Amino acid sequence: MKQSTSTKRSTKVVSYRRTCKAGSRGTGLSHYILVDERKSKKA
Amino acid sequence: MPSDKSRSKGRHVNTGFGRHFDLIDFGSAKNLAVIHAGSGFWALAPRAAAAGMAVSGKISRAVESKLDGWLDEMRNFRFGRRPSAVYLNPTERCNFNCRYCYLPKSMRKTGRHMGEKKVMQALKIIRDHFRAAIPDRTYKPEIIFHGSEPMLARDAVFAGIEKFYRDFRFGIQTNASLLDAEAVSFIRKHSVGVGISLDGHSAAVANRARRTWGGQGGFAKALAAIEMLGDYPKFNVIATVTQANVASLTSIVEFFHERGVKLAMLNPVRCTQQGGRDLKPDNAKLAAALTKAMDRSYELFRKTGRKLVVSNFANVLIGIVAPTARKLMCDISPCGAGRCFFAVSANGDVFPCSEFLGMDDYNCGNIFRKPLRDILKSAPLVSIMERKTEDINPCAGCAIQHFCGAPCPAEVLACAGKLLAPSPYCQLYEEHVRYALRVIEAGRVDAYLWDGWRDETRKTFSL
Ligand code: SF4
Ligand code: SF4
Repeated sequence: MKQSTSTKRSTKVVSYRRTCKAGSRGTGLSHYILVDERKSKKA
Repeated sequence: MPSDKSRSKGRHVNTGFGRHFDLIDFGSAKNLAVIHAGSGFWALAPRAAAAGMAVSGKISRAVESKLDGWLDEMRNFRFGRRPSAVYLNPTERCNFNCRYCYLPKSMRKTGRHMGEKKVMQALKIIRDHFRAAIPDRTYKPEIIFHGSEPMLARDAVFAGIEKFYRDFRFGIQTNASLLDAEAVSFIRKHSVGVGISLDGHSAAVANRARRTWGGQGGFAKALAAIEMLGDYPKFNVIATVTQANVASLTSIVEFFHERGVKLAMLNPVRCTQQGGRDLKPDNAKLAAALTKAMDRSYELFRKTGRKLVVSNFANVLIGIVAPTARKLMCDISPCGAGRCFFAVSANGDVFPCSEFLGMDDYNCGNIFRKPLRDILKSAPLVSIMERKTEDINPCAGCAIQHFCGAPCPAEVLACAGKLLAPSPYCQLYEEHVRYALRVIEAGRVDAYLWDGWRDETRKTFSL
């Protein structure tokens, strides 16, 4: 019994993935970041 | 291609056509990371169970049906984009002579201005090109006026913005020395993004590498600019990290945070030019200093509720949790050069990225003389657009290759004499990614990413 409880606790895995809603339209720059309009309006 | 019969069925993990999972120790007492490098999949699993879960258990079974979709997602993201931004250099000249500048000295000292007429002509050419290339009329491509020092050509820059602000989103990257109240009011009125360069929290540190030709430091002017622009949402600060300020990164984070800066970059100096190579910080020192500085930014957020996003780290973190939502394109291969943007020099020559300006072999043609669609197919540009970690040793076998990207082709070329070599900052990326995995494990991702990142993305998987 004891062992199965500890096995249960030790199998917890964290993994997730998200995707950009704007698809490939998002900005892509080099060293410099251009804050996008949507974000700046919100801020 | 072997016929289906001769292929292994891909039933076994880590052999034949089976999926390949790597295990990495990211410095957690509890977990190891299981990574499928090609798709960017990761999972944090208990140390004792992780290997079994990866090769024949919970993890490999849960993701088997997802991996092909993620491989496609990565392929589209890496190879399916078209340029939508341009770094436009309205002048070759700079009033500063920073020790690490990536542009050749003679160019910065005596170079030419593009002039207002030519700036207008370039913007028209770029607009017409994007109109034909990007069918979505609601999307505005980006123009970043970049250095040398674009404010030396202020009249031409502002005239261009005035005329074309309906066609583009604009940004200016400046040393801030020529930003006065009038310029700031123009920038705010036209919603122009502005990035200023400031390398330290005190004049002594900030002025070590950034000085005018006469030896005067830029700290005071940069500070005045922060005061004028601190509340402006489209404002960010870039600190270039060198031997001169690597020991001060935590103080720099505190200083930016106290001044109300919301977005900053702590960019390790590029080694493209000798000056940069001379000032390159030691990788281990740099990784330790950045880790401390990031910890400090987290503490400050907890204490004050105000966030200073360190965007070069944030970009690595978002590249792990939402690969297609990354904003900067240095940490993925191929990088953004030519693929997402290109650079135009003050005489109209096109280069894959500003980092290549001054390298004659990467001059892809002149925007005033050759159609952009031909320039964007030119051999030097394509050679950068095809540089990928899969072709580089040791990157091809590196679990974190799509969180790192082995940047930067220009500096790699300068340091190693060839494009297909790992990043001079390889070791830093190894630590950055491990730190990011610890941030994920601690459930602190929101504290390091910009507000709104969740709204910009959608969950597609969780275990
Ligand atoms: S540069 Fe280093 S960390 Fe980056 S992909 Fe190559 S081997 Fe991996
Ligand atoms: S990696 Fe280098 S060449 Fe590529 S986008 Fe970044 S700075 Fe430019």
